[in-house]
Amino acid sequence: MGETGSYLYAIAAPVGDEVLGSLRGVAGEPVRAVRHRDLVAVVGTVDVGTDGAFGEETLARNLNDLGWLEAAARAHHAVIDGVARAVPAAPLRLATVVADDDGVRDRLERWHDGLQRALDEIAGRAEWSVKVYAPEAFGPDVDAEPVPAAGAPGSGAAYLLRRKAAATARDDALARATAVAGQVHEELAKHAVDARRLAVQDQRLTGSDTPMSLNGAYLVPADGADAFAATVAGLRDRYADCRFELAGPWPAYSFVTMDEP
Amino acid sequence: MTEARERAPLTRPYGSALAAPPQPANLADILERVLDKGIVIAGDIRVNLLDIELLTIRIRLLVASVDKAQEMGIDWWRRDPMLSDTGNGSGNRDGDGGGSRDG
Repeated sequence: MGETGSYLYAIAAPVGDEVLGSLRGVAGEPVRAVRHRDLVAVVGTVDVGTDGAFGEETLARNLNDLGWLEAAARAHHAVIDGVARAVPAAPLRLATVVADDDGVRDRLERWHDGLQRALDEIAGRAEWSVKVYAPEAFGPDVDAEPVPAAGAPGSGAAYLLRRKAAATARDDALARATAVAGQVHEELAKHAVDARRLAVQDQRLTGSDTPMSLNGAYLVPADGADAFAATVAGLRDRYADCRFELAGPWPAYSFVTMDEP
Repeated sequence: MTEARERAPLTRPYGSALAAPPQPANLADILERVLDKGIVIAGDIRVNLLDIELLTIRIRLLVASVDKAQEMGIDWWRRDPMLSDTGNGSGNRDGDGGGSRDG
């Protein structure tokens, strides 16, 4: 390896080596703890030389390669997830690299109070994701009936009516999903310490038959996770025409914030 | 790996893992979080900001299509200076090779 740098995954409460020992980072490297005062930075050593994956030019190119990005994102997440399952951990944005461990400690010192506050905020809590998808649009199937022979009386008008009814059904389904999303989010926010609506994901990406109308993130205490899941189950029954997805626990990505010192 | 994780101590801060066993997270969920959420600390390795902006826009368009978002009444990208294409960033033609502006 040429020139090396310290890649940061998370800032955490003190964490045992047995937790970090089983984790591998974005370059397949072992991860370790850099300790400063009462904080730990979880870091790995990466190659930042001109030929290294994390050299400035190569990194910029790699980040634009969706295959490389997926592997890096999954590895980055896996390290954070492994740490967050053991101790409170604040995730860092992908590809944060500093020159060496002294640089890591400098940052722990400079941002100590903000990091400490961020950890206090998420300690004993986890992020849960709740997604809602629009109901199937039960309009008449435009192509189901054979198209009558051209010139048959009323055939064109009937086709247009079916087209219009199908479009109306889709609009209704979308309006319904939008309304349900608002109601579900409002209800879940009452059962969470904090709540965010993230951008809805594209249908091409979700592979769902219908559009997503809610991509919610909820910060839930560890001992409240079962009750939260029960609340989601209740909402799923109440809005049975919409499809629900509950996923988690996640590290509190959507709820860590830090002000500039 | 999965088995080891499921047998992890019950004192984990995540809690309640028995009720919700870990599942492989989907890529869109991971990307939207590791690229867009989490703490930002200035690093020493500075990747080309223009490239990253391009990437971010591409990924965001994948993660949330503008059409769908508009239908849903979500317009977060309008408030995002990086994504609102008002042309205010393109006037700075200094012409030299560096071209990077101080943040």
